[in-house]
Amino acid sequence: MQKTLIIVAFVAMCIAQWFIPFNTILHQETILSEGRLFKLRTEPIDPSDPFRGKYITLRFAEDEVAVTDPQAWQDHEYMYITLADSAGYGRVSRASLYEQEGDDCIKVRISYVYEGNPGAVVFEYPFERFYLEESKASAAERLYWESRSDSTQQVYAVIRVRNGQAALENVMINERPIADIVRALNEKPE
Amino acid sequence: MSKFFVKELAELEQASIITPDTAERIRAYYAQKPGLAANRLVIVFGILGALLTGLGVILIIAHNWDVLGKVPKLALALLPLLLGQAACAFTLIKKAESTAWREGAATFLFLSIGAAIAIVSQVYQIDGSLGGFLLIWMLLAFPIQYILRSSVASLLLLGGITWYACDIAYFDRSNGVAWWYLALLVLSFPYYYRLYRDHSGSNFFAFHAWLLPLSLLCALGMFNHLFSTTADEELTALLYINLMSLLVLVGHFEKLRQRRLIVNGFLVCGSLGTIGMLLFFTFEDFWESVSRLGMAETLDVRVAAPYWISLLLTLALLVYMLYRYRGTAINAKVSAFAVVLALFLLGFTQPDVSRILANVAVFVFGVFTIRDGAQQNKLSILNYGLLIVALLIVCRFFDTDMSFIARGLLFIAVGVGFFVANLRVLRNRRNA
Repeated sequence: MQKTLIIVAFVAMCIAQWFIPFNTILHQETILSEGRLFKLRTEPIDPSDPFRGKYITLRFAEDEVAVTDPQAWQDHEYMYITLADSAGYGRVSRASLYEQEGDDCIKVRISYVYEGNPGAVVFEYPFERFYLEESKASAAERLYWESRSDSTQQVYAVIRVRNGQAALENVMINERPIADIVRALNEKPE
Repeated sequence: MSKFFVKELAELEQASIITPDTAERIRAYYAQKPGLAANRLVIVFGILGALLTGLGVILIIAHNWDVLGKVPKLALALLPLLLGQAACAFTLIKKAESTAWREGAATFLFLSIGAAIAIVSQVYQIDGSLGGFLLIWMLLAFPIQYILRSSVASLLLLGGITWYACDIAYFDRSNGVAWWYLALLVLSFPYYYRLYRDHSGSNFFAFHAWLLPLSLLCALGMFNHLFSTTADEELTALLYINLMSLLVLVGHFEKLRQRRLIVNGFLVCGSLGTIGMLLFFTFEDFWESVSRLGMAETLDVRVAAPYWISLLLTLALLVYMLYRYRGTAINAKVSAFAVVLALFLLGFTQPDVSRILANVAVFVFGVFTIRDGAQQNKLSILNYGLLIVALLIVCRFFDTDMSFIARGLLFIAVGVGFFVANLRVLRNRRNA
């Protein structure tokens, strides 16, 4: 009897352990395949500390929104931004504390509220890390410095938005995925 | 050890120290005795093997192979989960009584759950918070300790939920109470109880007896987010002194007392913590801020609910222990929570009196500890008592206007005390 109970509990546990990753995969795949595409300009790509794994941190150009009543935004953890396409790149057209629907809204985390007139709310996107293959991290760092000193380089993130949820698809430098550029750099003898 | 002993038997037999009959009986005894040490080694290697393989797999997958497409990458990430579950299923069906199998399979499955979630996040560039990641991992891994009766899984869970609680309460914006920490801890209690009841002699029990108090010490500060901001530091300090008394009380449970002191993490943490907190209460700053508070609003049952709940729990356990272990000596430090509450109530109007009484309390606890050490003929406890008194003097050395001569004399007195007390105990031992 007890053994049956243990086996039933074990099977239930295994199902739960599969459910979470599968649910995540399904959720992300839906956003990536059905979501609306936006390009978000990123500011310098910042190679992150090696302790937390090999990824680069993205700092987006559009990371704050002006508000007239900064007091009202204090003490809130999340807000919703609406993106609009402007000259090929996504720009924040609207911000709200209330849940928004549509394939142009993203739930973001409020990181700081500047008081004053007008005030501003600084926020974090739910996708600020881009994981790279371990061997490419240092090359990405070099690339970052090069692209930073060269103002002709266009660095942006490709994201997909669906029903308030967003997924990061790729990071591009001049229309090419960063991973490809790094791979080419690695193959080219110095 | 036994092999060495058996080898010596021939020599002892030749020297006519033991009879051939006795030697034969000793040999027969060791021959039929189960190989406990060997068995323990298999368990240790089983766990270590699973830990290293699990971590190794995580590291290899974390390389984030770009040559692989998304699907092979995900398949590779979820493979360890499948292997871990298969190993656990095999263990449950075929090797349910083997500790090495249960612990090894449970450890591997525990780690592979974390790997699976982490790598799915990596493939889809999901930038979730560390606290959220740890919580999902711990929720999914929680049943392992019960289903596989695995102490390593229980220890990993305890470590994981503690990290989660600290992340929520202190690191990540530090504004929340990790209620899931409490829930998972309480739900794990039946496992801890079973370990206490059936395996109190094991090493796993000793690890739990340390990790559990340390986890509580780390996580309890999260409740300061519930207190009103004017009195949150003071109430958190009071909450901690209750915890210390509670830990000392738990350290008095029979099966914990039967083990060596070094195993009794509850008693060691509780006792050191009590003295640390009391020394903190001997400084002026704390009482100065208490005197600025209003008693009624600070101790309001709704605002200070976590404090009152911890007080009731400590009191209830104290009553239970006094009833259950009537006639057995209980460490004087269990009363610290009541002493501090009294000092706190007094501190609203008479902060200086409370401060002076806190000094007296530390001194009295030091003297009681010295007495316990002398009575039990244990130099470690005796010197701990002397150390408490010495620490009190060091603290006062910095913030009183005592003359240098008075301070010097005090130090000499404690130094002489160390010599005399140690010498007396050593002499008593020699004479005994």
